[in-house]
Amino acid sequence: MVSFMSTPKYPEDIKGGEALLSVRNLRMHISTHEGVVKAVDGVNLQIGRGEIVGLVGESGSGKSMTSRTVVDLLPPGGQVLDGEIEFKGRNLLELPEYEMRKVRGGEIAFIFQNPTTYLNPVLKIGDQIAEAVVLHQSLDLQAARKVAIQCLKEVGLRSPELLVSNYPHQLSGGMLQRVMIALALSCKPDLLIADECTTDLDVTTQLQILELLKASVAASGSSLLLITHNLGVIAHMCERVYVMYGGKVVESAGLFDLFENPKHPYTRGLLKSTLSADSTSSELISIKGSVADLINPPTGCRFHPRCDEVMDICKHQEPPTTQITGSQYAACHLYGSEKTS
Amino acid sequence: MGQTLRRFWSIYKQNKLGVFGLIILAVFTALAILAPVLAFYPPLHTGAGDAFMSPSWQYPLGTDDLGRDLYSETLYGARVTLVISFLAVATSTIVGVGFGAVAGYYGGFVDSTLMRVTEMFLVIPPIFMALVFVALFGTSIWSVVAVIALLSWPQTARLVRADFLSLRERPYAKAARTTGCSNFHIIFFELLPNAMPTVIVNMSLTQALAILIESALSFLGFGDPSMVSWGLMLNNAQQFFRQSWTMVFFPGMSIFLVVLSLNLIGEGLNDVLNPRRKQ
Repeated sequence: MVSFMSTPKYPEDIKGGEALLSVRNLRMHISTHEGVVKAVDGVNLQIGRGEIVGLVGESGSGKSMTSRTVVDLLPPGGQVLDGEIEFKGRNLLELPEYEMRKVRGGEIAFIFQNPTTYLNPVLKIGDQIAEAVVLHQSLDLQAARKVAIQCLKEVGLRSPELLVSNYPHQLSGGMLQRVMIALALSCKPDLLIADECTTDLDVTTQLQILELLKASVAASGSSLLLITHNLGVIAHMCERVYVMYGGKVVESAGLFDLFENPKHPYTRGLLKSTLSADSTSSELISIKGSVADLINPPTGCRFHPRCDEVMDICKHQEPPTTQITGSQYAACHLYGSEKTS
Repeated sequence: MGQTLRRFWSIYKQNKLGVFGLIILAVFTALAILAPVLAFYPPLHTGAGDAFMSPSWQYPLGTDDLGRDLYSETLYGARVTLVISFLAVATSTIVGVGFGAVAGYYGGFVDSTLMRVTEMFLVIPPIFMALVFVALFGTSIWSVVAVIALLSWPQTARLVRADFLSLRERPYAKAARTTGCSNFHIIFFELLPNAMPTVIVNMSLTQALAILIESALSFLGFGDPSMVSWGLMLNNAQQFFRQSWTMVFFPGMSIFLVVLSLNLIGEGLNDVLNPRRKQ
């Protein structure tokens, strides 16, 4: 049950300097044999300190690519064409590689989807955590191993002193995901980016992991960017949400506004097609059409071929991002063409 | 350190064949070290007895075409063969792994350049390379070791490169970059442990290759003339095997046993290093 008691923060309204991460007009394209993939095409997002922000979208919407671009881990052929990434007052796009390596893991940490493949199978899990600690906090291996045991304890694993000698294949998926979280938290990062981290887990384990994340983030004061396609996870965890489609942010809103008053047709379609225990209809509703091809995206608004409320202007002109309320923004011609944000 | 060795041994000894291989290698190593003590005659001592004598108490393995005592020759031969092949394999593996890992991981231009260099060494005729080395550095076991290493590292490089081409795509390799690891760290501390099975098995194969190359080179006179090796004995015995089976059998059997033992040790090591073995 989501608590609406605390007022969500909207860093768009906060003057620059208070947001932990501020991505402005980020454009990253990938050159491939088949053409240029416009994976991230003008993305704006902000994350404040201690906030839990969601990033929703289908596969191919650019959400994972955006997070990778923030830490400069571009795919082969990828190139940042435009934009700014401001993190703790520094423009990450201008950092040399050796500085960027300190940021990765030390200040921005990732949690990935399938922990069995994202951990090295021939190294003990204690050593894998200790490796990160040695890299970022100048400790020797012995001390780092003790820190690793402490980290495992903090994520709720029992007998961490015994677990550190285990190999990944000896633990279950849920335990391994906790290990990944311990690894991410080990260097006390300011921003955690969780990329579909509960997708591969069964439902009860999912809940445990989400609760663990929430508690860890609250305890350490770090921010969390939750990338997922699962609206249920968003509803459970996030204060604010960005919705991405076709490499662009199509809507951003506080949690309540997003679920109660979705403005963008894509968001409305997503919500309608989500199954819930209350749904009485026997038919599955889905958004017609298929995901926009990022090499040759539709002209004008990228969503227009699939939109129920498409107008003539949508086929020719890209919609500007319009401010609908103080905290809700949507990129859609339905809301006029006042340019804001 | 002592604790690691003890743990290593408690796992290794479960593989009976691996232990068997280790015993054989230990025996040959001991024989090689004790050769001056155990042999009856110095190496290449012609005229110790008559040619082609059968085994007897004085000449336990018989004599060869020049009356050399085969028992003493085999013992001294162990030294040369073992030292040369081990050194050559060590060098060849280090160089090969270095080239292969870097080429496989980085791909692109780095890969192309390194692979062209590798192929250069594959193309050079072995005899010519031996000639050049001997001309530059004289006939010695170091020349032989160097030539063998230069001839065998490309194969290791190619195998390791193939492994790394797939290893670098593994999710944990990509995840390691998000924790801030440098490429060097990922190649040698994350991915290389995953490539160990290939490297270890390849070391056994390279060792067999090394012995064969060494025998050819010694036979042609590129090795140190004051030293005898099993390969040299075997090569020499080819023309005489109708007259004396012992000339062929003992060096050949020794080579076979050493190569086999290294193979078995390699398998045993693979088992120890594999985290998925049944505990």
